[in-house]
Amino acid sequence: MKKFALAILLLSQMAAAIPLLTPKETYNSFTCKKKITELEKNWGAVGEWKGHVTVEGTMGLLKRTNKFAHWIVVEESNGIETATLMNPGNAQKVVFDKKCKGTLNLYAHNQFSNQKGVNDTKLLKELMNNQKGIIGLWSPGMQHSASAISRIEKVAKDLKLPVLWVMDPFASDKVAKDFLKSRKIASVEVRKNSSLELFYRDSTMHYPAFFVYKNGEIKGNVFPGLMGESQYRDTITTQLGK
Amino acid sequence: MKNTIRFSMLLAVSLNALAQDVPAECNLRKEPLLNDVSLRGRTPDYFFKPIWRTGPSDTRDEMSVIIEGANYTMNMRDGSTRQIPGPYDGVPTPDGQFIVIPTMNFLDRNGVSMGSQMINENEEGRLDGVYHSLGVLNTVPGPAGSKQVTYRGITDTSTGGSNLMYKEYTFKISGEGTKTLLSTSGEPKELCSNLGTSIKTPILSKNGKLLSAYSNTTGTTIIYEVVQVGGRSECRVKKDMGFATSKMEFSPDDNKVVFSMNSLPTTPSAVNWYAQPPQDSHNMNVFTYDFGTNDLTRISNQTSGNAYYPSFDSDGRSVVWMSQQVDDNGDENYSVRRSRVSDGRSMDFVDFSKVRGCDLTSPNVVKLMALGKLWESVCSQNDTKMSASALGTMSLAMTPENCRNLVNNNWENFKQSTGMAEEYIGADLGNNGGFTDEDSAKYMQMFTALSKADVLTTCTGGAATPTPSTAAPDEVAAEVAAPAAPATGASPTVSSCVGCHDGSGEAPAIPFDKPAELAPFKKQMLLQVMTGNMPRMMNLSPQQREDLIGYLRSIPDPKDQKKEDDE
Repeated sequence: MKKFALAILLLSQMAAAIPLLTPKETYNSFTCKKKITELEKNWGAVGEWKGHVTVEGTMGLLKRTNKFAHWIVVEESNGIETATLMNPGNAQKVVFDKKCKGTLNLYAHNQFSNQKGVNDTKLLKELMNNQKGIIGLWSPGMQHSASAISRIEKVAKDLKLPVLWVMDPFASDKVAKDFLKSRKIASVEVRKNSSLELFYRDSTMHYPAFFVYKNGEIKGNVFPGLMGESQYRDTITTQLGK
Repeated sequence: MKNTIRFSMLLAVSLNALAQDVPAECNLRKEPLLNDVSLRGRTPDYFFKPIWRTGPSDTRDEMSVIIEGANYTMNMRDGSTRQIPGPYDGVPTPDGQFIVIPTMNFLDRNGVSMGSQMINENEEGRLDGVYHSLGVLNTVPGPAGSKQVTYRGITDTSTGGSNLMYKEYTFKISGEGTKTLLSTSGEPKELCSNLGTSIKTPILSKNGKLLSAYSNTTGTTIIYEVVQVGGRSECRVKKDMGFATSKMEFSPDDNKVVFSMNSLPTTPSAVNWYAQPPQDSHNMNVFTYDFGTNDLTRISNQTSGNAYYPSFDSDGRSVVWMSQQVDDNGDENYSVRRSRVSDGRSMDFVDFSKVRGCDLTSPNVVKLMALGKLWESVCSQNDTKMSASALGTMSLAMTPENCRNLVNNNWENFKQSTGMAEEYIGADLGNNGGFTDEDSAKYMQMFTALSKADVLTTCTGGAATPTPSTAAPDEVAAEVAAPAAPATGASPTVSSCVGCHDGSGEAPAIPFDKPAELAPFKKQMLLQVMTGNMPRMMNLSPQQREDLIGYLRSIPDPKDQKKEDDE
């Protein structure tokens, strides 16, 4: 049955339209926003809401917290509003009823099954072991990744910064190995992105891309697209100076 | 959530995909995919652009793709490929005349091959950089079918230390299609000089006057207007999407954009959504955004693998994208898919999350739910139960003929089957659906009272073009006689209004079944529909909305009606 469902899912296409709301409009559309605000405080929310389209195609919201790899996701689906604290261990999902009374549901993850990838534990270890550094995102599906690897490594060497290379989670290991071999790139291992922190930071939108980190914290937003060596140097230096 | 996705899948399922032992009436409408061209086991790069047609007589259907480190054109009809110059990024111009490879080398699209020469080979002041895109600024017709076309090309020249740059190129294209570079705007100039290096992965719109890009400052994708201020190019925010997307392509009229973005479920339900992508449900899907209507529309609905790197076709009515499928062994296969943006049937999606003030225990919703449950009972091959929204919208996924056959052949057995009542309410209509015990009791009472004729009234086929009925005369009579059925001659879309406006719920009662009494509601209904506020239970295609507005306009004005009554 599951195979049947998978086959159908792969064939399926559909269209469903919703109005595009700004994050503020989306927030204001929630009936239970007072309760959501309380949860935000309890969960240590930081910064502004960002828009997010749910699996069902409705508008939702994302906000980071003061804990590594802990993100708040607020959604409305089938008329039911929910606020979820996503973290590597579990999802704490509060489901609101019509009177905004919340019920907490816990969903356990099993992140550690993917030992070959870069999960949040490995990522945090990297961030804690180095005062500052670079997280490089690459894909064998993007030709410019090879140039980015070469340029970022050169700049990192000059600036004495470590680089953690994280691969497109949707790319095939075999294609990735062929890509690295054909371009004689020995310094990069095939390690797929399986970090919640990186996913919610839009790390899968474009390759190559990079983040910088300092004192155990990723600084700012992702930098997508190939740059020249000098712009890599300027951007990395500027970000680390903040 | 999972079940709603499953409904989406059902809506789109291919007729032949159902197992052989399932009755023919279970078959749903064909999915709106226009093409699904396999890349025959090859792994593409993430570059992928349709080569637009040069005019109505141009019947070519080709894509510009990168496969295993080289540029190709691919025939969308048979999947055959032809290698062309360059290792990457063969960007077609919006008028289909050129394929432009880095560093702004123009290749004549006609007969392009590995031996093709660059038309601007001797150009001075090259526009270097990556992520180039082009718009058509101006086309001036000349004698004997010739024309002069001016293109604006942009690149991200961060490789040289600055940011976005642009340059303009004027070509003469003869009536026979011969192309000559007449002039350029000279040395490259800075684009969006007010934004510095904060924007990345830019794409120019087809008329060269808009730009989509990711802003590192906001962490979102923004659409800018490109303007000239004091002789400098500046970019002003037209629309901040509020979230990050993939690179964003424009439609031919620049009124829409298409992009892909992540789906990140928050209920993993025993799957490990981010640890083993893309086998799990964390994946990317294709969306369009319409500046005019502010509608965000999901075009693809893959829940495994990805749908990404989309572009519009030259007619602006369809979208092509790359589809990645992953089999049980984790092996990947890729294909190029094409779907209409505004397919009348594919748009028949009832988004229950937007239904406010609609009582799920209203008679028509109960009927729709019953039909859904009947389909699930007879036809579904899946282990999990369908959600309320899936059940309630099954009629939209069925042809009227199959719907009638399903009801006529199975309703009585279904209704009499043991345990049917418990099955009917199900978990999805319980806590998850926000049902109280009182709701459930009312619901069951109404369900138990349903007759076959009642359920047959749901077989309208949503907003689809009506097909000739093959039902027996007495069944047709039953449909027409059913009290809640929309009046003959009404817009088929009106059927979706009945469920909420029959007076049993919070929505105001409107007598859709009595067209003669609709006049007092005309103005308000038109206002609601024309402003897009209604109908809430379905997302209409432009044609459907036009039909519905036409129908509402055809209702006599209250004053006219008074006159008629007086006469």
